[in-house]
Amino acid sequence: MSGALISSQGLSRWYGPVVGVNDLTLEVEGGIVGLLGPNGAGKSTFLKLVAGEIRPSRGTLAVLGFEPFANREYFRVLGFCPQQDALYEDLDAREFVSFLLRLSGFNAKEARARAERALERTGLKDAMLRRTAGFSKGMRQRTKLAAAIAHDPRFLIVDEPLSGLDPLVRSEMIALFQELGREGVHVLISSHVLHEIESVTENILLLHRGRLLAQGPVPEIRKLLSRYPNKVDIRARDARRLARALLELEGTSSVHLAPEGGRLSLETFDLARFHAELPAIAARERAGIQTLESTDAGLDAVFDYLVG
Amino acid sequence: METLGILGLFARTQLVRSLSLRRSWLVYAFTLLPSLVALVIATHSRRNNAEAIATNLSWFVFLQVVVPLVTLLQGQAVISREVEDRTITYLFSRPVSRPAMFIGRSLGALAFTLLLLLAGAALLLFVASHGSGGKEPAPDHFPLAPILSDGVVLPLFAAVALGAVAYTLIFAALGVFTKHPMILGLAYTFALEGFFANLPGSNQALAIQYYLRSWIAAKGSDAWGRLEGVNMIDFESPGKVLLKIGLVALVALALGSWRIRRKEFVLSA
Repeated sequence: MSGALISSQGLSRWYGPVVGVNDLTLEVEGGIVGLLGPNGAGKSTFLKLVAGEIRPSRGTLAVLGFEPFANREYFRVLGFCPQQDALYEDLDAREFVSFLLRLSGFNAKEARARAERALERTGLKDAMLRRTAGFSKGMRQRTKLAAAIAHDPRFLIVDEPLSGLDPLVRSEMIALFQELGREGVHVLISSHVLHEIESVTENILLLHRGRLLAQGPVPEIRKLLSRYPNKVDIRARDARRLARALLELEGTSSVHLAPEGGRLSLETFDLARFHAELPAIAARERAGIQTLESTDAGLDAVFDYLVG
Repeated sequence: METLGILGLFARTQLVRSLSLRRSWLVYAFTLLPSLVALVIATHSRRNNAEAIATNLSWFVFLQVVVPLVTLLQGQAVISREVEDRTITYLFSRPVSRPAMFIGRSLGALAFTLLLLLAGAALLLFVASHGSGGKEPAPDHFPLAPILSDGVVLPLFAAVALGAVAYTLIFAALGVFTKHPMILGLAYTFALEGFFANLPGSNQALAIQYYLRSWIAAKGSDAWGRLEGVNMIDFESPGKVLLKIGLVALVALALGSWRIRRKEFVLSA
């Protein structure tokens, strides 16, 4: 048994002729991991496999050393917050979470106490006695999350947890994921909105058409993409003079001056050299740099590059 | 949690949810229908006496239509409603025995159909008894229906209970095996059972209705014997009826439990 959180060998899953996940071989060490990919990339299929909801068509999958499908021992340490916006509408939030806690083996009193704590943690303390049928999207998401964390799982899977939420709820959810990560809970979060994941973790799995496109910290992945130049935006008092000097720097592939002036976009294959040389060049040319932004160090750029 | 505790929890939640008028209004409506028909007949037709109304409606409407329909609506929903509502994910990602979940839910549904159908049968007898004249109270009468003898009332209650047990559990198992249990359940109830019931000889024993008829033929009063179809074929003894209905129930629970253990329910997002 490997010590990895998730380990798969040739993992495939198809639905009739439709391929969900195709020949996926990977090891994920743990912590907070983002699962990224456009719609149809295979994220949901992968999550369902990892959550033990469906079986692999081919290959093997182990999560925390368990084969996930219908494995009750695994479900003791798993918290799963599914994507579908479905709750037991005739129950209030506390009843909903308590019921699922009873299924996790807690007695009625303990289940109720844990449900209240979890709902308080997800910011639903004041609404816990209201029927979920009247809940907003954000409240429903918080209820699902409370149910997923109430039994103190070692591993939490959250499928598209931030989609459709307002900025305040979103930032609260992100803070909660980070807090869970600090507490030692492994968290696997899926999203097709790249900046959402980037705000939670740098550690990502990138899926595309059912295959693993990339894995690891965003900056490391970025380094692997040496055939793509790094883009840097600079605002400077004398952008034209600076552009001319930077064009002569080794590794620079292009420099574009914005028509309105005062701003330039540079592409370089050697970002380290650029950052090392820039202060001296700026001083020599008296360019007066105001802002500097590495626009594609972010996940959006990595993703765009990788999926072409 | 112990398996018995899980069974009880699922049975209780299933029963409570089934009692909701919003979820089960159609089931309540079907159950009330024979009583409404009885009321209309008793009010408008002076030729019919209480026994005739009670036995005819019980046999041709309640046992052959209402019991299968109500149990189909409730039984097939034991699992398929969770799939339709996309809430089954919550149950299947918890450390509970899937067979215990299925059996608990099925028993909860059975408790509901038993309660409802027995209450519906009692109401039908009450309406038939009070809405028509022609007879003095029977000496061994049922309290709710003073004109009807125990020989009319008790076999009906027993047949309703036997039908509820067999059909509810068959349809609960059907809901695990197929994506369209309603369609298959309707086909079974109104095509297959009818076909079996009209086959010659012992082939009739393939239909649940055969055992309900058998019970009524063996335990019922003469009022039942006057109905077409009740006394025309060979019947099973009451002991064998109980045994076979019990076996059907156990086999349905076992098959449903076996299937659900490894079944995938693929939900769309």
